[in-house]
Amino acid sequence: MEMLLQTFVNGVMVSLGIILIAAGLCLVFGILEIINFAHGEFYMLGGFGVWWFFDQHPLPIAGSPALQYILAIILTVILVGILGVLVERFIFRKIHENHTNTIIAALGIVFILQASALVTFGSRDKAVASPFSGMISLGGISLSEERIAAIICAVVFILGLYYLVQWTRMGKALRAVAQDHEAAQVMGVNIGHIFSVTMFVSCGLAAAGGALMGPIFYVNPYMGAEPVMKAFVVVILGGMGSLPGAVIGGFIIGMTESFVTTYVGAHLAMIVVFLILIGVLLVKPTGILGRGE
Amino acid sequence: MKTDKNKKILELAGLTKVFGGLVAVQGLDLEVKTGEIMGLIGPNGAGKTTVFNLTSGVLMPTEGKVLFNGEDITHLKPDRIAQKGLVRTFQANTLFPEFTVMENVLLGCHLQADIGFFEDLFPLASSRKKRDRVDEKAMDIINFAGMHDYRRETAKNLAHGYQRLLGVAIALAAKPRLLMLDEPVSGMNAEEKTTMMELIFRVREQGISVLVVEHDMRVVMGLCDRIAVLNFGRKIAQGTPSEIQNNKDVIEAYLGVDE
Amino acid sequence: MLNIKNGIILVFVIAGFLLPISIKDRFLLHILINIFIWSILTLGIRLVLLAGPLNLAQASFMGMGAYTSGLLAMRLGWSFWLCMPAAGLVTALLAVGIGYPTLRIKGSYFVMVTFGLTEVFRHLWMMWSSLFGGPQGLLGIPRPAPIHLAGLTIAFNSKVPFFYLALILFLITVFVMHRIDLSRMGLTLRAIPQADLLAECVGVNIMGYKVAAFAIGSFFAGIAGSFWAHYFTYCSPWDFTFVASFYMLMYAVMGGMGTVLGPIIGCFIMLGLDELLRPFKEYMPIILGVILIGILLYLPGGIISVPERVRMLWNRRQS
Repeated sequence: MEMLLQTFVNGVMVSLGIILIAAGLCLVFGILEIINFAHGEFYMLGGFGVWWFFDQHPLPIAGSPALQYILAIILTVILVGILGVLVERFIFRKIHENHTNTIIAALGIVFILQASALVTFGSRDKAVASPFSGMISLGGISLSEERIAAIICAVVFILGLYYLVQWTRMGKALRAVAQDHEAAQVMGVNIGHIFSVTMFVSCGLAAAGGALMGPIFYVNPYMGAEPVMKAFVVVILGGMGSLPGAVIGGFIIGMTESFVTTYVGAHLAMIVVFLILIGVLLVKPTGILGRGE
Repeated sequence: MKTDKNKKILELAGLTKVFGGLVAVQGLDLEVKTGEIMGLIGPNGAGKTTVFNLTSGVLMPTEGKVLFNGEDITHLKPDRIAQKGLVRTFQANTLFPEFTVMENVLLGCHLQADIGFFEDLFPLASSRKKRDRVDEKAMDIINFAGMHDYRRETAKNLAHGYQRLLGVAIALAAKPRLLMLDEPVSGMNAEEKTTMMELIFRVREQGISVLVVEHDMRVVMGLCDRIAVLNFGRKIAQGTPSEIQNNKDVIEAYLGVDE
Repeated sequence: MLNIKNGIILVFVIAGFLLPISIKDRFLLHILINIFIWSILTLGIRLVLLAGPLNLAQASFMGMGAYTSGLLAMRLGWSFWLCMPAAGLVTALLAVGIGYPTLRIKGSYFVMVTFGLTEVFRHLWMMWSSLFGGPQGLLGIPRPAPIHLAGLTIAFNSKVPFFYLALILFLITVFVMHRIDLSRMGLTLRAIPQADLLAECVGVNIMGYKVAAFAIGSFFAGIAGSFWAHYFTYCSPWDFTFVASFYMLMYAVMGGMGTVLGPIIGCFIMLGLDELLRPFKEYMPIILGVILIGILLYLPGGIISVPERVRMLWNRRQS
């Protein structure tokens, strides 16, 4: 019974991490209409960011470790977001009509970022000491404080995204562009700005995911590959361009992975996830809540 | 090719297509007789291109049948239908833009090139002969369509009128028994339209039946033996050009539409 | 048949065959062997890419070829000369089985599927350790048995016979790929990404052509994998990851997709550069990535389009 609950909580955490990455992918696809294969690398940079700004070179700000940790995450998110904006502005914007070349370029960025991280930080796993080191007992099971904190932070980010998209003027502009680029422009929306904002939010969310997962697992330059693959499955499952779909898909995949890993094995979990991907693409490519092409 | 003037080459029976809530085509019965040039007209949105898509296998009908030379082709895929001799063109300039005119037509000759895969790999005398034969067939089509001078031009660089002609040439290369033309003269000037009409007459002389969708009334009346009129997905009239011109329902349907 | 172009090709081919006689540097032979094998793999990816689909699982097919060949030799005692074609065939059949359901999936999603496939294969090889040897892979794959030709015995215990084998495989692959380019199949494959609906409506079976190209590209990947396995005498899951596939893609794009020469030149230049810049090994992916993006943005035709570009600029300057 305890293992069941642990697996469940773990599944929630994993799901939320995946949702953070998937939401970013979803945004970029819905608004820029490109599939950002380099997305996982921003997740990876998020992990290294929190390692750098919290573990290695803590920010010179007085306060509890928890506060420093939060600030490190925020700083990382901002920096990675800016990087994303630059990548879009100088690379994707020039070639986005050619889908194949955009994919190849994104893979090239994966190469560059991954190798840069390797050169700068080395290939060994890095641990990030979490500011939350206790254990909490809930109904007979012990859950680590750091996992609870990660869940709470992830929920905050996701709710923040929801607020941005649904309740702000910027969100309205984002939704307008997602619907129809030309119509939005006619209404006075500056498409370039919208693209930049989208990339900032998208890559920032990926970085948040990496920053939150970093202390719980390890940080290394290859950590972006698997999460982005899972995020792809989530986005396709939930429907490309649908944020609620990404949430639903995220929970399905996260829970599947958690339970299969615990009760069967990690290798098989990846294979199962992959089979889900193929299944969805063959049967209903638009996904559960998809917009359709 | 023997053409029995009263045989039907194409028969649409009760053809219906529903998209979500929209009925695009409703219970359409249509016949094209072997050797005739049949016109299909109607106001914008009447469903003419949908009929083409349903007939050529691009869309599957919600109800109804498509019979080609008596054979039920309703649920066949477009490449099988083309193999049977039913070839269509497209409204927009659908060509292979990066290919030359010659390469475009060569592609159209796809079905006629009976070179086996492994034979093609080796520069043997036999494969060379077969390849030359296909090249000849392609040149014949290009000359037939009057595009000899442009055979080395890249398709995307052609003037609009020649692009439309090329579209027809590609379709002809596939050796159709029935050629379906979707707005062949759209965007052409008067001289180009005459050239296209002459080409279509030459096509009919070859024994190929033609079903043509067009908006230009002068072209339709001048070209077609019979005309069917669609409005809101239903056939509202059918007959010879003069019958259609004087048909009350047809005039009403087009009221307010200048042609 | 007798013209300058064919003459140049003949010179290169002859030079290739005479090379090991004059140059005894084993390391240079090794680099060339690498270039030949990677060219085969790169040409395979290019063939499918012509028709549209971007196959990131090419390295996985290479891996299947390697494992198949190694296992047939080690477990069933087959001769290498049977293992290699068998590996190619098995890989091709596998490609047909995988390609048939997946090639109908739209462009970018297909790429994701192939990306996922690389992970599936890797996990499969690691999981099924009784067959594939787990994370270590297969060790001790036998070298090809000596061949007896015209009184000579050629034993595969130095780089030289492997060089000739790689050269021959390379030449066969280039020949086949070039002939496909010129054939009806080549024309049809190139037509598909331009106007697939039009092609279908003049009788082209799009799926048939895509699967065929996929199978051919994978066949050669299997052959290359088989060579790899018996040359290095071991293979592991980490040799055949998505990264390897991406290198193949990069060489094809950087060299230029238009003809078979492009990927070959891409391999020569990039793998040569790799060796020259050996001291900067960790920076290579960064350099390659930057060059790749530069080419995508400013020189989409690849390196072989440089002469044409220069000519165009020159003409413009003249007028």
